Amino acid sequence: MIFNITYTSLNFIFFVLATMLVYFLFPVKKYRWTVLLAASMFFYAVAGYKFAAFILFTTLSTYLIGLWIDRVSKNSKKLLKNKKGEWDREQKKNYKNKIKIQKRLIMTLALLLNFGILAFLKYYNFFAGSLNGVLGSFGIHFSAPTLELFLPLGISFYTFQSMGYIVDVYREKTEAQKNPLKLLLFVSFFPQIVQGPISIYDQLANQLFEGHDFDFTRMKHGMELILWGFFKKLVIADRAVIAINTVTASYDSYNTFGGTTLTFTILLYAVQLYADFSGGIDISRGVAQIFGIDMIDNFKRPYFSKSINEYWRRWHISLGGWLKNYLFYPIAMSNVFLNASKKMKNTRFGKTAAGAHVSKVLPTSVASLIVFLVVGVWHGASWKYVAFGLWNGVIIMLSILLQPLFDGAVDKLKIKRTNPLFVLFQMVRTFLVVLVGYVFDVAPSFKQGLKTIALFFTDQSVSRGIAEINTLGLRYRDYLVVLIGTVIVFVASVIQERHADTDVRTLLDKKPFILRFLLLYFGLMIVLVFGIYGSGYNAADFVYMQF
Amino acid sequence: MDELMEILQELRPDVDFENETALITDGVLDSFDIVALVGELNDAFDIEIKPNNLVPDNFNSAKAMMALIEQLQDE
Amino acid sequence: MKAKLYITRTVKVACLLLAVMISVTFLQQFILRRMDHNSMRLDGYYLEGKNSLDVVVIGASDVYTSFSSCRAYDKFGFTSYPYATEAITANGLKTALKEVLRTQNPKLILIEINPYLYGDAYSETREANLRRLIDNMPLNTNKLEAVFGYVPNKNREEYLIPFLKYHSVWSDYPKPGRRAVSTMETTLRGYSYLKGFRTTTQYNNQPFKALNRSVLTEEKAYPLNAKLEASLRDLLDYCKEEKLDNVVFMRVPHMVYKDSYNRVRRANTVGQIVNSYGYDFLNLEREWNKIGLNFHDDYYNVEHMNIYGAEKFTDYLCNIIQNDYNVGPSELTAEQKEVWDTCAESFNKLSRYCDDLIQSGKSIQLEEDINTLKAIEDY
Repeated sequence: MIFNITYTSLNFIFFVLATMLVYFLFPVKKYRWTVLLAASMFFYAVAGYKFAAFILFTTLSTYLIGLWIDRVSKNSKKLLKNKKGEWDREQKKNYKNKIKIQKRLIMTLALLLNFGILAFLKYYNFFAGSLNGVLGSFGIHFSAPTLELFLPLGISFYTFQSMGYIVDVYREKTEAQKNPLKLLLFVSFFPQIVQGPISIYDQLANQLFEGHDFDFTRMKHGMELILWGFFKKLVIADRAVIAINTVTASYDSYNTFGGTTLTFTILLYAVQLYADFSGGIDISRGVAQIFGIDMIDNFKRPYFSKSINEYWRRWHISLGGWLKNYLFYPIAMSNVFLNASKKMKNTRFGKTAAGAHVSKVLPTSVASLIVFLVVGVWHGASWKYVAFGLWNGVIIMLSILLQPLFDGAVDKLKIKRTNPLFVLFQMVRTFLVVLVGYVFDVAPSFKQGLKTIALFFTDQSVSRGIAEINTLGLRYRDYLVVLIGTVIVFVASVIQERHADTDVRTLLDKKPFILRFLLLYFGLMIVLVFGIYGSGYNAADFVYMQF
Repeated sequence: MDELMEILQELRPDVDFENETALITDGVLDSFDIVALVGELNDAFDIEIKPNNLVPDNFNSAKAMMALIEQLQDE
Repeated sequence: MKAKLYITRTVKVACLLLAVMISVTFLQQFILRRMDHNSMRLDGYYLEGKNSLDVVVIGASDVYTSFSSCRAYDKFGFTSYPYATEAITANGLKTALKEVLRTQNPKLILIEINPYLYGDAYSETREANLRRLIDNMPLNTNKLEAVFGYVPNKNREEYLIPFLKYHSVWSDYPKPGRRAVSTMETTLRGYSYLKGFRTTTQYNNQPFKALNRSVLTEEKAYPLNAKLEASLRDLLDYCKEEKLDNVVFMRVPHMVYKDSYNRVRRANTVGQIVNSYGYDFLNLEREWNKIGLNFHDDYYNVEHMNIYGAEKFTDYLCNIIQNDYNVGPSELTAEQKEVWDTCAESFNKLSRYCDDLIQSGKSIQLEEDINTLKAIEDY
């Protein structure tokens, strides 16, 4: 980086303000999107200039292939129209199939090119290492070289986003964008380039290209959302991560901690991950909102979920949606899977009550398991992430397969499903399952993840835990700040949960001015004072050295 | 329409398909329900529902589903 | 109607921003700040009335430990202040000079040359050395010039808005509380009692052999570090450009020992350079015996005088100021006189307090804070 322009830097704030000024003062409304494009290019040039070629390649290949698919679709439609009456049903069907295969091939080209780059950069070393290990265990001393690869800024996000666009063009859900610069803006829009959300073309693109006027309420809401994001990120997440990083610093250091500390770390991680990710998304969405662009939300208070299935609908929503649309449905609705279900139904087992249920959901569960493997691998190139994905996938699979059993048990015990205690039980249960998944995220390796889970049960010692937690680089008062911050986020989440149809900022608008003023004032001051930012002050640096 | 209602009731007896108009948007049907439903509909109506038909507008109500089925039968 | 809406909105937003700015400024000045004797000394300096000082002494720690403005006023009647921070850099001396010229119109400005004497220029870029001066300067063009002129190009914005660096000081409380209260009290009072003087109450017990006798006849002149020499020449060029005729360079006497002996030889070079620009150089290092300094009794360590040394040195320096540079007693209003008399009295109390502590073997550091001020009340 030439200079620091991460979302929580002072430079980013200046950058957004400058972009705002130029955008709203730009005289030709129709071309205001070019300001966003220029800003996005500037942002990418500053933050990831070494890798600009990658994003340009993805944009260009997406652009050309999108147009290509579009042309094939349109030409075939024209031809079909011309041949109306000339061709019989069979001929039509054959021609349609031919076109479909052709389009699918072109789409596959785009997918291979772009996911190929992503996979190579992200997973080459993992595979080379694993391959060497496997071959080595067979006595073959082949050594695939490991390479020093760097990931271009936001490559996962913009690759997913542009490939979603390609599939949408293929499915004729959207028309191909004819202006390459507009497509470039869609791929590189600066508020989302670093961490998403992964937007769907139809949902985002027109908002980007339309010229928006300045709107006070929108700006206010955007700024409030940014402040909220800063609070979660700077006050909670960036503080908590100091302790987490100490625990996970290395394989060796991780092993020195007892079960209590590790339990604490996993809990802290749940807080940190949510605060960091959702805070970052709030900053992104807030910035976009100032420009009149509503990006989809990525989180819907996921820790309030009553099942793992629900959790994954409320956590990283844009990735979940992408995977559902472009991976899960195509697999689950492929002939292979649908036929498997049908075949099972016709077996003797399939005729039993349990069998009917199993044959209905098993193939779909397998499809979802595949998706979760992808989710795991998306997190990183390591077996522990595979374990993380499998854990979630298997739990979902089991919960769906065993659904009738659970339902039966609940009915037998005469538990009312709306009973708050039962709901709370479901939430806590789900959260615990999520925490187990996090273990594999936090632990340096798969093996240590398993060991950590064992330690939860065998190695709890409060006194040792307290002693160790004190050495993680945070003072007790820092933990207190994290705790209070978490309580604030919790309360806000409960309020939001109770007002599903609106957002807290709109609710806030109806409150008296003085209350809003104080809330914003203290919000700003809390972030300024308690946020972790800047080079940091360490009194030891000032100790008298020479005179 | 009756056949469709029968399939829907069997799939999710707990849902009021007559009046519900935001089955997808409100998350009444999850992705597993959708896949199961697609399998049933394909068989019952001799159609082929593809992933690109899976937009909320096509599945938010029984009426919308019927429209989709009719459209696919025409092709 | 619409115009009215715009106005109320603008006013509301402005109020919010103003409230935050005022709060941050207040916190940055009194609560969330690195407060130490340097900050209190410079705060005190900026509280002095414009053009009210006759003499300003610029330099590092050897200035504020060896020269007492209160004693100078008490015995010689002129007003003065040490614009000095711990381990000030060579570049910092020029910044300090500019600040002095911006705020005062002294009859005499003394510059202690210690920063030029090191063998390397490491000290010049050490963050702590830079910050002790720059953090405590108000935001103005001199500060900008310093930050963009010689501060390493990293986190420069944190020098302009120190809050960006020090906001985490809340987690050190209550420890900084004492100094926060001192800073606020001094500001409310409008002047400092001890004028930035700082001392440690002990004798110099370091086991080195003093080589000061050979300093008296040392004629060798070692070359300066190139960067430091450039900095010195830059300062001298500036003095000439501005046609300053009230600037005098000086060297405070230290206990010279083996490791620091080269500084004596470099000081000779500094003298030559200073003279070549037509400025005076007072090498008081060679007058320790005339001052009557004893390297055990009058120092608290090899580099710094204790209260006894400081009194002797202040008297000696003031004689030079009075006789050679014709700085007579200041003409003060009754109000100013009352303030300076109070300060002089405070220093005399401090002096007696130091004497007691040294004699009873209690070694503590004394500076302008509420603890010291409270302790000397009864002396």
